[in-house]
Amino acid sequence: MRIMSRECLSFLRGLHEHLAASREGGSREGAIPHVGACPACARRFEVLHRQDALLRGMPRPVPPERLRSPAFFAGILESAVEAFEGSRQGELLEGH
Amino acid sequence: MELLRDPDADLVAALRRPENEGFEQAFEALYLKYRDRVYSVAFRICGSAADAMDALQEAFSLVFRKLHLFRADSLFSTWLFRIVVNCSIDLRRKGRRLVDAPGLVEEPQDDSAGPLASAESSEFSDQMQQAIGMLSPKLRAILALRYLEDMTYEELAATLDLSMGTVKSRLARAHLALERVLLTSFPHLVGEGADGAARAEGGIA
Repeated sequence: MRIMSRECLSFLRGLHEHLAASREGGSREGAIPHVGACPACARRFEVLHRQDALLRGMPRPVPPERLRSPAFFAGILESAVEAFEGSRQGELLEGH
Repeated sequence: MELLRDPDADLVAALRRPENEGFEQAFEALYLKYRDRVYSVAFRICGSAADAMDALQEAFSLVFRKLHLFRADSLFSTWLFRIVVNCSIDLRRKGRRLVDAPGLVEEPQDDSAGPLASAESSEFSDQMQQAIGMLSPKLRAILALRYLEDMTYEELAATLDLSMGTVKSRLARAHLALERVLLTSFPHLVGEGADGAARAEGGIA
């Protein structure tokens, strides 16, 4: 594993800002001076730039139909209200 | 940082008064507004539709039960997603289920590009989800919020209750870890091969 300089670490920590700047176009080397100066980070940036595109390309998971069913929502509401009332009862009992 | 008025403030206020008429409508309105986004984040973290549904159910239940703890010093959505992340990580740690059969839980693709393209896209999505599933829950969570919710560093810090420095480090670690997983298990997605390069450059619609 290569040893990273302070500049390399700083570059990695600001990765998403650099990726966003890069997506807006222009020369990466010009926009991000460290990429122009450090071949290792330049290679890593290319890899992570591709990874960023892969992650952005993933379709959103689509929930099962059950999520849209009124019965599913009713179940959540019922359990929430029951738990709320249970905790309120507990508070009342503690007050005695 | 000045906090803008929370767009959910009225619904949250109604939710604080279960004895009032508007309570159920407020709960339903918040549920309808956030359920798909909550499910998506939970799915990315849990890696299973069944666990994502359980996490969602638990999260909305907790929202109601813990609302008295919500001090409105952040947006309601920030608080909600923090609960979702915690519920999802808890479920994942319990390890009750492994990943569902690939292809069953992801979006049926738009077939207008043809069944082959649709199948390829579904396979790509399954493989990426598997790769993300090999990361630790915390790394999966930060990638889910960043890429599904498009959260900024500041929003990630508020949601995950982390410092900005930790957010930056964790995001970088997530990318480096994913890079290793992709290179080891799915090299065709990131390699110089036509598939990986084309996807990377153009993205998958």
